[in-house]
Order: sequence, then C-alpha cells, then structure tokens
Amino acid sequence: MSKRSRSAMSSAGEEVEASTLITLRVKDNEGVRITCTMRRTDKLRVLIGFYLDMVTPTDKGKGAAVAAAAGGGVFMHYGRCVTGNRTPADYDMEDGDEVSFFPDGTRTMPVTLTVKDNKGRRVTHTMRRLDVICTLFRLYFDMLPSTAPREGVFMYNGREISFYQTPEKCDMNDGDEITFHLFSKPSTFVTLTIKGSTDDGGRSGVVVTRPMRRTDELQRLIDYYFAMVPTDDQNGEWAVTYGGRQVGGEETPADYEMEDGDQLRLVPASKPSRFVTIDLLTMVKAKRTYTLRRTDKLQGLMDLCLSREPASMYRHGCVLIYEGRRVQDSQTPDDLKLEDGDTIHAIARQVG
Amino acid sequence: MTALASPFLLPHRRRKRPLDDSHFHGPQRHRRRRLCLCPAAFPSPPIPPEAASSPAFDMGGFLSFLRGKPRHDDAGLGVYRGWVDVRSRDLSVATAMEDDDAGFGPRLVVRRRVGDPRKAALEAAAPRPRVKREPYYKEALERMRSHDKRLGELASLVNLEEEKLAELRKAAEPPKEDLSELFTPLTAEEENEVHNCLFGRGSSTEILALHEPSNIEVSREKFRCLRLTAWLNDEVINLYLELLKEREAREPKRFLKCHFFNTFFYKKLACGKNGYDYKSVKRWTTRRRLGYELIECDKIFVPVHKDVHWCLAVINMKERTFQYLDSLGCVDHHVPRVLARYIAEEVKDKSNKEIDTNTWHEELVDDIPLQQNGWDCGMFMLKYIDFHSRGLSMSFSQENMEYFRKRTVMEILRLRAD
Repeated sequence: MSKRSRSAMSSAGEEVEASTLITLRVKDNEGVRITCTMRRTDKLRVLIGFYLDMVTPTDKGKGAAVAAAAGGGVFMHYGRCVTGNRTPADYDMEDGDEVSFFPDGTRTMPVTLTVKDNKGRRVTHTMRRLDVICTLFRLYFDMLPSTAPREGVFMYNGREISFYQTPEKCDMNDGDEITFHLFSKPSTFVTLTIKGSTDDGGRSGVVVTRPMRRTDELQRLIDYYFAMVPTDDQNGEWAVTYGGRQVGGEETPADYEMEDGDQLRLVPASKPSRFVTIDLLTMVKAKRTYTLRRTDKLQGLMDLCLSREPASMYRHGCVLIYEGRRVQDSQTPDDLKLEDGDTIHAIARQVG
Repeated sequence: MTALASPFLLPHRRRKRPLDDSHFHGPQRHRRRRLCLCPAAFPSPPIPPEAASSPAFDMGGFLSFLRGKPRHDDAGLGVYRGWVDVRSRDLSVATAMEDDDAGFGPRLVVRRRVGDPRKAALEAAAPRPRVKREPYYKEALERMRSHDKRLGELASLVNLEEEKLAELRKAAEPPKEDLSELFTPLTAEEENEVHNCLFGRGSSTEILALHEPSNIEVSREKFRCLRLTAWLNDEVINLYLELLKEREAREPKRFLKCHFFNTFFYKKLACGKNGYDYKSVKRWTTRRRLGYELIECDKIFVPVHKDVHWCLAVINMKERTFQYLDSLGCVDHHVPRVLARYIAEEVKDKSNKEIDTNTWHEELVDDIPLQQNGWDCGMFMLKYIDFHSRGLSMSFSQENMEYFRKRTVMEILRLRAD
C-alpha cells in the first residue's frame, strides 16, 4: 500500500493536473458497482449521495436520503468508517480505490406483503419499502365484497398499522403478513360487577359478578347482590352508583353504555346534595355550566339563557329540551331527576 | 119530489087557509052577515067573497112560508105535525060547515077528498128518501174502504222502497267510511267550542289544553296560531303528534306502526360541527323511554323546520325509502342523507343490527297536494303525517285546510285524535 501510494504520488508529481483528480468505486454485497471521478479535495458526501440515488430511487431529497443512509448502513475504506464530511485526501485514498457499503439491515429491493382476515381472504401486493402502506389497504378494501363490513384495524406483529406508515418503518420483510381484524359487535350480554362498601373492620367489600342482558333492569343485579350478601341488606339503606352517578333500578346497562367488567359500587344512602350542576347547550353551540338548587324552577334557567343570547336568536321565545322532552317553566331539577353532568338544550321556538 | 112536495105543501096551505078564514072571517062574516041582513040582499053577496079571498090568500102564503122552513128542518116532525094538523083541521072544518054557508061547504068537502090521496102519496114518498139516503152512506163507506186499500198498497210500496234504499246504503257505506271519517263535518256544538277557543274572550295565558306525558301546555294565545292565515307553532304541532301516537297505540290495527319525532329532533341532529350530531339525540329514543325501537316501526316521521317553513321527511322502514314532502314543491337532498346516516347509526346502536342505507331509495314525491297561500305549510305537514300514518293516498287539497284547522283545534281541546 505505502509503495503504491508513494509511486502514485511520484507519478502525480510528474503531471500537475492528474494529481488533483481521483477515481473511486463504491460496491456493496448485492453486487452493485458505481464509479465516480472527483477531486481529492471534494467531500465524500457527493460519492455517497450518488450511490444512494442510484440504488434507492425516491422522491425524497438528498438530505433525507443521506439521513436514511446514515441510519441504515455504513461505508468502509480499508477498515475505517467513511463519513460524508471528509475528503479523499483525509483518508489517503488512491486512484482506483474501492469503498464498501454495508447496509444495516435495510433492504433496497421491493417487498411483497399480504393482507389476510378471519374470513380467509388474502390480498398480496408488491410495493417499494418507502411507499405508504395505504395502497395495500386500499387494494384490500377494493377486493372486499361491497356488503362486507370495513371497520377494523390492521395488525402486524401485535401492533396496529396506520394507513400512512411505510414497510421500512415497520421493519417489514419480504413475504410478511398483515392481519385485518374487524371491530366486534357488542354482545347482547354484559357481565357486570357490584361491589359492597368497606366494612368497619377494614375488610374489603364483597364483590358480586353476574352476567345479564343489556336491556334488563339493573334492579335484578341489585337484588341479586342483596340475595348473596344478606347482612348488607340488614344494615340499612344503600345507593348504587356507577361512574360517579346514582343508578336507578329501572334503568338498563344500555342506558349507561356499560361494558363487560364494569363495576357498580354500593354506598350508604345519604341525602342527595341540594345542588345539581348541569350543562346548558344553546343555539350558538355555547355550553354553559350552571349549578342550581334542586328545588328551583327551571324558568330561571330559561330566563338566564334568554338574557345572554342575541335577541334575534330567540325571536319567538325559548324552549328547554331534556332528552327529547320539553321542560315546563314550573318544573324543577327534582321533577326531571337531573343529575350532575346532564345536558339541557335550549332551542328557539319554531313557527312556520 | 117536487111533484110530490107541491101537493104536500099545497094542502097545508089550503088547510091553513080555512083555519085562517075561520078565525078572520068568523067575526067579519058575522059582521058582514049582519051588514048583509041589514042592507039589501043583491049588493051584499059579490063584495064579501072578493074581500075575503084577497086577505085570506095573503095571510095563508105568509104563514105557509113561515111554517115551511121548520118543516124542511124537521122532516119526521114536520110530517107528524102535518098529520096532527090535518086531524085538527078536520074538526075545524066540521065546525065551519056548521057555521058557514052552503057555498063554502062544497069547497071543504072537495078538500077532504084531495087530502086522503095526498096522505097516501106522503106515505108512499116518506120511505123513498130514507131508502135512497142509506145506500149513499154505504156507497161512501165503500169508497173510503177502497181508499184504505190503496193506502195499504202505497204503504207496502213505501216499505219496499225503504228496504231498497237500506240495501243501497249498506252497499255504499264501506267505501265512504274512511273518507267520511277524515272529512266529518263538525257539529254546531263543536263549531261553537272551536270559535270560543280561537276568538272567544278570556285571558290569553289561560291554559286550554295540557298534555302531561309530553309536558306540552297550549294556552289560548298559542291556540290562535290555528286561526285562518296564522302560522303554526311548535306546541300545537308537537301536541298533535303526541295525539297521533296515542291514537295509533289505541287502535293498532287501523293505523300503521309509526314513530313521530318532535320538531326539535332534526334541529338537534343537523346542528353539529359537520352538520351531523348523533350524540345530542342519542338518548331521545331509548327503548325504556319509547317502549319500542325504531327498527320495529313501519314509518318514521321527522318534521323539518326551515326558518319559517315546515316540511316533512319520512323514513319508510318497510319499503326502505326516504321521502321528503314539501308543500311548496321544493326538493332538499341533504335531509334524506342526514336521516340515512342517522337511521343506520341508531339501529346499530339500539338494535345491534346493520342497515345498509346505500341501497335505500330516495323518493322525490311530486304528486302531493301543494299549498296555495303563505300560511298553511304547517297544516299541510300535519295532514301529510295523518294520511301517511293511515296508509291512505293524499286526497285532500287547499280547500280542506279551513276545516282541518277547526278539526285540529277540536281534537287538541279534547286531547284525542280520531
């Protein structure tokens, strides 16, 4: 090596012009060979970018390619790592030297992916590693029958794949499979748990689990609990709460959108608070929160709503609607059984 | 009769004349006889007959006329009296013969002879009129009886015609029942009630109709929107829709199974950020609240309020069709799309079933009756719902709106829709 370099330097000294130019070659284990002639004082970034452009055609700019390459592989020259910021002179490169590129697990060839679902359908598509994966998903949806449900998630290695990720980002290899899982329909049964209150002796409350239909009344679950734990029934009155709200026995799990595993709590019945906090949703989509006494007439709320809205909005007056029913002026939150967090809609009267 | 009557009358006159003559001529004759005896015999005979004859005839005629009338009135009594008079005259005649001269004697004798055949004639004539009269009565009775027979025949004819009419009415009743129910005229009492409600005196804030299940109370002021040329308000429309729902629950065989949203539903559904907000109306149609689920209904009616105009959107679950009815004839494709999205989401959420609303049809109804003025869109919408909930074709028009307004007032006052 040293002899070669010395002889080259001596020959270069003979020709002043020839000594400033150098021809380098980049090769990789896939057999790609590119050759580039450059000045000794040029940065090697030119050579690396040229190689990456040849190997991985993409719309991204050189900066992105270099960044990807930096993360994806390494260029070696006689055992030393080559970076784009240095020049051939820094590495004492001679004319005709070779630089080797070793990819860090990144493949440059197209990748063939398959989408399958629980119905046995398989859709295969070959695409570039840097393409967004939604082309594959769209192909899968196009192949589906028109009446098939399309709501679900694509899973790969236990993770959900979004539409705008790329195979390279997900470390997908040739021949990998992506599974499409449909969103399951809610069952007509729901398994609920009701938990008793903590005992004075520190013992935790009794937990009673029972499956029931979504449309059954919750009173059955409450009765079942007291049948299982008679001592609690003897102790006194109880109130059942779910999600911070008191639950009525005549309501159903569907009314509260309960799911499997939800837990109702049994708490000693105490006097309900004298105040209730509700949301008032007006015509201009303004949501205001008011705290009222349970025995106050809701006419005050209506008057308050009218006073804060533009007069032209409620030309013929205002109507309060709670769950599709009209609210009378003389009614109170107790009459409507309002709870904290309920929403009342204020709608202008309609004439036509 | 006249022939018989004349001799009957004449002898009476003649008989009366001798009596009169005897009464009058008695003293006169006595006086004349004395005068005759006193004066010469020759001049006295010619003067007395003339003087005696003239007054006798006059008096006899007068008396005969007077006596004639009662005779006519009392036929039997007259004859009887005549008979009695004849006897008395016979006696008087005898006395006259004794008193009178020979000249008067032959006349009386002649009268007696004539009297006997007259009696026979009277006796012969008396029964004849009786016999003739009685048959007349019988004939009259027979005529009456014949009339009765004719009346009987007429009665039977009338019965036959009535039976025919009854059959015709029975045959005609079934097809007319539905239409008659829909267009039954109001009675005078109902008209008066409606008039008092719309134009009567009283406080405008007086509550005339209170529907507790839906918390809707309609005051007199609110009822005034059902006057002619007035625009309907949401209280009246929503209360009427509640009455329609109760009517269907009352008679499920006569009416389709429908759901009637109130007028605020579409307003809340279509007021989201993207023009669609399901969460606002999610709790409006729970099974606990309604008692049924929307997928079980045949038709779902959604009133649509557009600033000052009422329209109607119908979700026909049985025929998988969305209909949009506008009494002004306009078309809005946005409403069916919003409702298609809503019904798919609602059925999935409440009934756990999938509905592909892409295969449903959006029917543009273009043969519905249209309004011809600027104030009946609300009433047209109510009648669209009414006729659709019965499954009938739209057989009303603008001319019926005044009647429908009154009928709606009456039904709301009674809180019962027929």
